[in-house]
Amino acid sequence: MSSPQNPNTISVKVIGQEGDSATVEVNIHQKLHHLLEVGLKALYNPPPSANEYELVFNGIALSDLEKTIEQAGIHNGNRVTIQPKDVSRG
Amino acid sequence: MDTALSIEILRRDWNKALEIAEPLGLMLSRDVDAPLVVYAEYVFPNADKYVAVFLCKDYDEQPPALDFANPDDLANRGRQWWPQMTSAPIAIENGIVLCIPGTLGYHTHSSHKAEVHKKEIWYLPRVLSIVGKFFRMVPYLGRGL
Repeated sequence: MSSPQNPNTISVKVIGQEGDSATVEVNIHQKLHHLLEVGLKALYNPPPSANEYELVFNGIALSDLEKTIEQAGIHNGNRVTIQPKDVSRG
Repeated sequence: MDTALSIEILRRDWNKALEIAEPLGLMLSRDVDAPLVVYAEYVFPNADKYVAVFLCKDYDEQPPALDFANPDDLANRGRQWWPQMTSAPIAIENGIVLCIPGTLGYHTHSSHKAEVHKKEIWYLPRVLSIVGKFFRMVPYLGRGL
């Protein structure tokens, strides 16, 4: 995956819970909340509420959405999945 | 259901399954000798390793059956190889049932078999999402149920 021209801008592949994916461009100094919102917009039309979803990266839910994308260790070309916070329980 | 057709349908979903597995922290593989058996390896931060096994017989007319295997002997499966996840909804009745729609144990359980779901709910990428969630239902207490 090629890096955009601004060195602070990276491409991240966001993947929904059904495996559908989209690539978004974000600035590494933006907060994770921004990545979650643009990811939901890229995956779903209309996008659901970000409050009901979480970012999962390397098997860990990124719970502090005030962290920047850089602080979360997300780099150009990485894959992040967007998962519902709650699952239906029987 | 014809086995060759199930293999073909699993192949349809395989690339999406691989894509979602990585951010979920799962490493996917298939059994060379049994192409309807899928393994998903997960390693906790303390280095405890688990292998979820999806038996995809009659996929996608039927959901994958979920079990866990000895990481060093994948033919050795059962409750002793499941992780104890404190906040996970688990029922132990004629095997172990993860009480979340998507795996065979849930959909054949007497409490749920009357429920109607679209089969998309048990497509492999989504089932991986469920298992990824299961591993995040901490605290993790150790191996064996």
